[in-house]
Order: sequence, then C-alpha cells, then structure tokens
Amino acid sequence: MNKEATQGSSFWRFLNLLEDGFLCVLLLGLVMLAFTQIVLRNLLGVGLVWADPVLRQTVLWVAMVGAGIATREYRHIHVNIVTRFLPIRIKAGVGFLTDIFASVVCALLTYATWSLVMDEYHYHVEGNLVGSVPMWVSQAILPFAFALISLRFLRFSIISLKCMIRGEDVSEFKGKGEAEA
Amino acid sequence: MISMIVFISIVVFLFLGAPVFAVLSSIALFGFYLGGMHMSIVGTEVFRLSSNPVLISIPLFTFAGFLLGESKAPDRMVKFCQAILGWVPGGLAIVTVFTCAFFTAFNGASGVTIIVIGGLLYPALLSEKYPERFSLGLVTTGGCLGLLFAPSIPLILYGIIAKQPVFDMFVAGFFPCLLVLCVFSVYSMLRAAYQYKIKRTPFHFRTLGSAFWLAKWELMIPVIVLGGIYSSIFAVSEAAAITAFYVFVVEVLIFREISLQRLVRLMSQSMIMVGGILIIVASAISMANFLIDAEVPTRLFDFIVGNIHSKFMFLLCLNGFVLILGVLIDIFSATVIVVPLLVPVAQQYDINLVHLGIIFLANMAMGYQTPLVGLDVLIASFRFKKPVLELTRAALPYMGLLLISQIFITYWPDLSLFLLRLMGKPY
Repeated sequence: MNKEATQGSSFWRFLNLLEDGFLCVLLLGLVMLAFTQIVLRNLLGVGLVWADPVLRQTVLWVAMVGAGIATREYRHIHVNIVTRFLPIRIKAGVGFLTDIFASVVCALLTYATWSLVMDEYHYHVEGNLVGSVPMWVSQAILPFAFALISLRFLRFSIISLKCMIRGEDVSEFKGKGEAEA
Repeated sequence: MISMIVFISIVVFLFLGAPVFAVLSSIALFGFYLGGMHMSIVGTEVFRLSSNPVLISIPLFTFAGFLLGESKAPDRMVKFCQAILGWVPGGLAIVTVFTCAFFTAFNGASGVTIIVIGGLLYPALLSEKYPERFSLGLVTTGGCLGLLFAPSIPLILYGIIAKQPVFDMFVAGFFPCLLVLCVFSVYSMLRAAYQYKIKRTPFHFRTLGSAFWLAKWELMIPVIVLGGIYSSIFAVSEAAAITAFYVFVVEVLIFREISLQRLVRLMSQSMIMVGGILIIVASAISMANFLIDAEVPTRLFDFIVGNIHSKFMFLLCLNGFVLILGVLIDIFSATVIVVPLLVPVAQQYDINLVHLGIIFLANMAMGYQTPLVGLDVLIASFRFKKPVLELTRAALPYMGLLLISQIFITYWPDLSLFLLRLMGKPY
C-alpha cells in the first residue's frame, strides 16, 4: 500500500496536527494551572475558586484527546497473547473483526454521551462548571472524541480487510505496536 | 441464553485483541440495555472520570516520567550512582537495580526503563566483564523493579479503584520494594564477587562530588516527591503538579536537552499512555455498576468463600491466580477489572486492602517477565536485538528472586504496613 494508506489523506494529517497542538495546550495548561494553584494556596493562603473544577475537567479532556491519539497510532491497551501467534492473513482477518467491534462500540458511546450532553443542555443537572459556563460545554468533548475514535477504527478495519485480501502484514499499516514504541 | 452468548462473544473479542476499553464499555452498554435503561447512563458514568480529584496525578507524573526519560537525566543519575556504589562488589549491577527502580517508579512499566536505562547500562556491564547472560537478565528484569515505589501509576490506580488513600499505598509500597531491590543486590554482589571476580572500581571523593553536582537537579526530585508526600506537606496531587512543573523547568528550560519538536512528540506519547489508561478506568467504572446489578461480585464471593477455608490457602490461590492474570493482561486493565471483585473477598479473609494492593501489584509485575510473551522480555528482545528465547533464559534466575520476594510480601503483612503504623495510622 502507498503512503496515503498509512498516513491517510490530507484531511487526516491536518486533524493529527490539530490534535497534537490541542493536546500540548491542554497538558501545558494543566501543569501551569495546577502549579499556580499550589503556589497561591501554600504561599499566599488563597486559591483560585475556579481552578479545581477546571483542572478536573482538563484531566477528562486530556484523557479523551490522548485516547484519540492512541487510536490514531493503534496503541490502545489490548490483549495480544493470542494474536501474536497468528499467521499474517488470519491476523488481519481477526484485526478486521476487532476493529469493526471497537468502531461499533464507540459509535454507541458517541450516542450515549451525546444524549448526556443534550440532557445536560436542557435540564442543567450538574449546574455550572464555573461562572456562567454550563457543564455541557465540558461534556461535549465526549461525543466528539468517541465519534473520532469510532471513525478511526472504521478506517483501520478497512485497512485490515485490504491486508487480509492481499496477504500483507497489518502491523505495517497500524503503527508499530507497544513493543517497539 | 442470548445474553450468555453475547457475554461469551464479548470475552472472545477481548482475547482476539479488541481494545480493552471497548470490551468493558460493550459489557456496560449491553448490561444497561438488558436492564431496560437509557444509554445516556453509560455517558454519565464515563463523565464521572472528571469527578475524582486524585486522577490528575496520573497525567502529571506520567508527563514528568517521560520528560526524565527523554532528557539526559538517566546518564547523570547512573554516573552519580556509580560514584557512590561503584566500589562495592557487584557495584555496577547494584547501580542497575537502583536506577531501574527509580525510573520505573516514574514511568510505570511502559518499557521506557529497559530502552533508556538498559540501553545505557547493558554496554557498561559488558565492558566491566559481567557475563552477557547475567547482564541481559538484569536489565530485562529491571523493567519491573520499582513499580511499588512512589509515585508509580499502578499504585495510584489501585488506590483509586480499591478506594484506599493513595498516600497509604505510597507508604506501604516502600519496604516491599526495598526488599526486592536488596534481594537483587545481594544476589548480584555474590555472583560478581565469587563467581565472576569482577574488578572493583576505587572510590574517589572527587568523582562523587562532581557526579553529585551534575545530577543535583534530578537528585532533588526524590526529595520533593518522597519528602513532600511522606512528610504530608503536599497531597499526592499537589506533589504531582510540583514534580511535573519542576522536571519541565529543569530538563526543558535549564538543561535545554529536549527540542521543541521532541517535546511535542513526547507530550503526545505520554498522553497516549494516560488516555489509554483513563479511558479503561472510565469504561470499568461504567461496567462496575452493571456487574453489581447482575450480582457478579456476590456470586464470586460465595463461590470463593464456600471453597477456600483458610486465609493461607486464599493467599496462595491469589498468588497463583494473579501470576496467570499477569501473563494474560496488562497491569492497568487487570487492576480495574479484577480489584473491585477481589476487595470484598479479601475483606472476608481479614486481609488489609492496602496490603492486598501491594500483593496484587508485586505479583502482577512478575507477569512482565513471563517467559516468551512477557512485555519486558519482548521489549528487551527488540532493544538488545536478542532472540526472545535467550532473554527468557537470562531472566529466569531473576524470576526466581522475584518469586522468593513475593512470598515475603504476601505472608508478611507487617512489611507493608508497619511504616503506616509508625505514622500513627490504624492498620
């Protein structure tokens, strides 16, 4: 397969860049804000009221964006004790099944979390995050992340299927896997 | 009947290599569907990831660990340890044991230890005329040492899942981990002195002084983390924030050893690990409620309590079970799936939950050394370009040492708990 298949079209590459950038901003923000809060609290005896809830939501965002990137590099934690010993073609076939499975589950999770956001939007169960920012704004990361993850697994399933038909090794197209990370 | 088939096929998907989080979520989704509840409940459960104040320490410590691994900190730490311990018989082997433990505590068992520390020390061991097999086994097994030292992620995760204070887990892990390091050190010392007759390097105050000066920034990290946490100046999440900030300033701004491009790469790499772990935690939380509804824990509880009658037997079975578990799945998935089920059972046998965590994690760590398929064996095989079979053989004696330590850790609860008692905690 050509470079296009491994790295994806320019749409995916643009998305990757956007993701990396966004993740860096989130992570640096997390470190800086957490540190500032400690300095303020321990040295000056005052803390930012909004900092703790915002930090907790940032952890969620970091986790979801991180999980998105993990999908992109095919690095989600999985059990590989069986697949390790399978021949290339069967491995690709099994990969097709598990990718489709993951894609469907994530599509359902997209729906589940989307309903959560809609409920929150209409009924304000959790109250506001900080000030006048409602909680659904932070929750909105969930359906977006799961939709993206679902799409990526769908893409991988197609790659697996192609590999199975052509008898190629899937691992070449799915990132290097944990042992070589 | 249909639900049975669905559940079995979900487990099959787990072993066929579907992502663990997808498998757990599918159980939660299917369970709530059976219960006739709306799917948004699963969404609510996933969102609960943002309600735990300790969770923030996982991305922060992981980020710090990756920064340390990417900079030249390992180099400086190794030089410092060599200057202190080099003159002891088996000195370099002991240096390997301790630096591996230090970095694994920060990196989790991500394999970074083997790649970075092993990559540094394996050639050094060979050049000091340690035999190849001894050295390979040491750096391979080194990847799982230090998992019980603060601030390792498995300790934090266990604390969160088993609802035990993370601080207590940090304290409880200290002596069991030290025991393992001492067993390894004594073993290396004896072999180096009597069997291999390795030449000792003389001790120089000047070398130590300059090595200390070079590593001064990194040497402050244990002081901040351990000192800050153990003396209760900082909460665990605060220590995490300080560590991440401090390591960032030292390695990126003071030493300038990490270019901007590598920094971006490192951030996404470290958060891949964090995202991978936290999404499993979220899916496990949503699955746990369903399991309770389906009375899985109670059934398991009745089964075990009905069949195993003594604490001793239970612990023995636990060791065996977790050893097999460690072969099958990784430490994070195992923790979130199995620990909620183990907790009520262990309480029935009067086992302290903090001690249970230490037993569980020390036991799981051995899974990384599993012959042929253990993650550490595979990573070392990749890093040192040696066949898996050869590494398996090299790691075997160390596996034996780990097993011996495991016996002490399991059947001597005070080893884990006495420090907590000294601190006036009711254990």
